[in-house]
Amino acid sequence: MNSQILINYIAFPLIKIAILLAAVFTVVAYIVLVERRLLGFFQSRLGPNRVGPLGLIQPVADGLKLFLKEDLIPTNANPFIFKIAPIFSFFPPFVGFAVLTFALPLIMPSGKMHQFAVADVDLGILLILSLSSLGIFGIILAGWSSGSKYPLFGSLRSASQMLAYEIPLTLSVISVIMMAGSFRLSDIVTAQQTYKFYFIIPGIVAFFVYLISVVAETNRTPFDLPEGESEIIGFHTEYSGMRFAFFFMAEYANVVLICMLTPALFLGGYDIPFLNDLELYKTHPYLVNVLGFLSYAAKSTLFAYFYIWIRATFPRYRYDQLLKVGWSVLFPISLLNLFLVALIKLFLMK
Amino acid sequence: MIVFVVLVSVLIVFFSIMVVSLKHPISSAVSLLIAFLLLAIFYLLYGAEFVAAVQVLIYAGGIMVLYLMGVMFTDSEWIKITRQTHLQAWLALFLVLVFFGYFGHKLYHSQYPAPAVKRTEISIAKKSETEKKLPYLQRETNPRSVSVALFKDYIYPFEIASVLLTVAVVGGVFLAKKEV
Amino acid sequence: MEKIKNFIKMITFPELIKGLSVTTKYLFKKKVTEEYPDFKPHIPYRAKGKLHVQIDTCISCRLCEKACPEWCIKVFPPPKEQMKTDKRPQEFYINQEHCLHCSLCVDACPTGSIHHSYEFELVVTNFKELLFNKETLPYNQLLKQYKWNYIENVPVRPRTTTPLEQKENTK
Repeated sequence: MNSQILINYIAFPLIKIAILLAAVFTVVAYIVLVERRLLGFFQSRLGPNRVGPLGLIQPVADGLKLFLKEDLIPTNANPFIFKIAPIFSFFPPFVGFAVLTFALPLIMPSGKMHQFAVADVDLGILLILSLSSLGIFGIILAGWSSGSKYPLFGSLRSASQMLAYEIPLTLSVISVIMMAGSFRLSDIVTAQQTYKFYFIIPGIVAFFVYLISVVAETNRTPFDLPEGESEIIGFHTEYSGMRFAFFFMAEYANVVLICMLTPALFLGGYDIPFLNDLELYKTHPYLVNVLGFLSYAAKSTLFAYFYIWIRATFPRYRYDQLLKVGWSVLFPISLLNLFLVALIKLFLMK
Repeated sequence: MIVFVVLVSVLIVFFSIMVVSLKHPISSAVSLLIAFLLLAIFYLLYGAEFVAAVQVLIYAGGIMVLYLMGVMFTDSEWIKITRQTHLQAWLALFLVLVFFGYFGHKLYHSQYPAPAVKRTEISIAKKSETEKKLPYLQRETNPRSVSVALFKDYIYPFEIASVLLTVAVVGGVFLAKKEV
Repeated sequence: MEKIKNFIKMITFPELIKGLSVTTKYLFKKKVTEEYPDFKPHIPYRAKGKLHVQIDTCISCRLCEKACPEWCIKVFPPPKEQMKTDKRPQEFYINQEHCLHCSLCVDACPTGSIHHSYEFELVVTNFKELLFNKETLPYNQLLKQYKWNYIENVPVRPRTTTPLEQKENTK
């Protein structure tokens, strides 16, 4: 085999994947810690700060604890499906990270351009949506195969919830796709840079619908009926040890993925605010790369903070209220908004 | 490439047979799910990325969830002890063989690849000033060619299908309501 | 006009913003957590810690030994000749392993020699470490202050209030 092909098509992507996965696992481990500490601050506590300075080694301790726990399989469970269910909910968010683009392309000294992404494919956002619709199988199969009533109820709750909120989510994402004219995430950011306004301005309604339904899709607190750790019992009741850790990590990986996706869709991604990026890129490409990456990170952190903030603030919805909001409020609003955005795209976006 | 295609097709056929032959309803639902996912891979191998994504999004992510929810409510013990076939199976097998032979004969004598269809040129009729600047709108991508085929070449069948779906929804609501 | 007001209220969600602002206020408030091993916690005035005996004032009357429901106190009085001049016990054992912290011995003591200290850390790796004798008994650093308060039998030190009570007082 030609060595050039080996480097360009096998070695280089593998290095990219390794870096991305390492970064994602670190962020997923530390967002748990950040959430616990911030929740503590919100409740005038201090949160976990015992392991290491400021509690920074806490994720390692948590992981070690879960790893050393006994792996139980209930007698009534269907062992095969019980074992494969965590995998179903584990892989979709981690695959979704592959299509994210983190900065404008890097120009090598030889004149070649390198994307700051593992696979900046044409399908982009559609791939993330279709993969996240697969995550629901992990929950349903986990609940069913546990061979116990409460996990089954939890999984049924979560199935109807995720079906109800997937539609407004998709419709509000479609309005962004319509404004940009492409599924590819780097194209969506390029469109926002060229139009010189972020898509949050014409799509403010879509943004709020997206924000609400994304919280429901990731099973976070105002909508955390699938788990309901405090009073109603959730789908992963029978899971322990490493298999539970898979569900846990999948949830937080979903949160991180959404926190990185939202800025790209509505807030211009790696665009630097108040600067003409594309002009500056021609003269100082490396500066724009670094600043763009930093601004993307800042926007994502803002959303992560917002997520934890609403978790600390709002109580849980009742189940019928949840479905009512999903089907009879968000769904018509997102449909109307789609029509509105189409009109804006036709007549106002010159 | 051809090895992958054959492998995926064999797996699809295997899992489709498992759907009808497995006794446990959840097991057959899971094998149907795997067959759907393999079908998406099959589309990907032929370069139809958009169709593959939609296959996963709608069939695997939407319809299979409804199936699984329905299956969960059924009494699986009752299904286990009932026979899965009856006398009509022989007739069905005969008809399947006849159709299989017919389509095999047709496929064997058909042209491959299919004759090229005259396609509409991909261009947005009225482009605004900013849209002309966007580089990616000039490039032909898989989703864009699918959308052009749907909304320009085959607009009437597409709209008729949507009307059919609306009729189905209205009919479903009518049947579900006890008093109209 | 009323309808327009209601509509604006409906689409701007003032309740949600109010809730979010409340949590933000708490984010910057002083935290109430006591970081125990690093900083000594605040101990209330009437806290009942380990038992402590002031050997110098003890008269070996063995009333505490009899009052103890768990029999965790054992007093060895001095020989009779010595008892006339020096009444301090020859040996004094307190088994903290069994102690209930019930204060019955404190009530029984005529001289106020036995009382609770502010020491509360009772975690050991060996049960024998919980058996205290005459040599190991004076473990209380806050001894003087406590003794003084006890004899007066009135809470001299103003009773420190918890944050919750402070809030109620200011109301």
